[in-house]
Amino acid sequence: MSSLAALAETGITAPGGTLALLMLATLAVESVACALLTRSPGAVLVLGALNLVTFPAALIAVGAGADWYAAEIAVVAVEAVGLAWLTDGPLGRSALVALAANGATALLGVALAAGAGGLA
Amino acid sequence: MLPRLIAVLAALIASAPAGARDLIPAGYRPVVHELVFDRLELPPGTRLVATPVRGFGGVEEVQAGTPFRFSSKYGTTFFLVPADEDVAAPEPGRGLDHPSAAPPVDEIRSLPLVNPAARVLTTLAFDGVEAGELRLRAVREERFDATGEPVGPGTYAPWIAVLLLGVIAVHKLGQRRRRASA
Repeated sequence: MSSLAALAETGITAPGGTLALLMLATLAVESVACALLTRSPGAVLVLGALNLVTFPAALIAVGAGADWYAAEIAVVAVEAVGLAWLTDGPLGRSALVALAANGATALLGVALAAGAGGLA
Repeated sequence: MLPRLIAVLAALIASAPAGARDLIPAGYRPVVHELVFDRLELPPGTRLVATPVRGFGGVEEVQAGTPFRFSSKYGTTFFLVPADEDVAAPEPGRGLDHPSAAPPVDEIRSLPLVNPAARVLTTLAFDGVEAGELRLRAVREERFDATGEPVGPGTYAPWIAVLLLGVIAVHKLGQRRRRASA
């Protein structure tokens, strides 16, 4: 069974496409934000790898009933610490990068929710 | 000042119970929540109606097997009324002078985007009248997706695979960092 078939079977969808597409969009937006902020290809690679961990982990946690905001905060924290550790950078700057990158994806989420009539 | 106001607003939205939110925040989407009675054995000569008591009036006659919408915000309340009484919606803030009860469940107005459910159906049971109050209880809750299919527990297998891939990638990057600093 392909991943997309599995997604269709579980009905896990997001407005504008599947969550797989949403994850790719998240990766792209965060990578651009990280590249603009750090001008470091290494940092972009690290943030991409961290996203492979944080995105599905947050998805599974929220699907299991965790609060979306708590999951977002945990994602920013994990990405900040991971970025600082893997790039030998200061934690403060890594936290700012993680916050800005996730802020950009949050705006993407707001746009998607608004597009799907989520703002009632 | 503006960022502070936005932060306060976000905190208020986040702290409100999901069922009470008017504004559906990012990451959530609206769902329809209905109630239904499988069986309805009412005292002879009575019927059950549901009507909001906080405005947006309208009286719905409750029939076994027919799902109906309700609102926690507008205080949908059940009333057991004489079968021959013509019931008008109560004034906002006032109920009807009959045995009554609020639904035993809170309305679910939104769910996280990742939750596949588009419709929530709660089955209720009527257990009689006690001291002027209706005894209602929730029997079960079912969730359906947009096509009307029941939503099962689902599988997160693809996402667990991505998660493992991510852990391996981070581990490899960590190894590379340790080698570089050695």
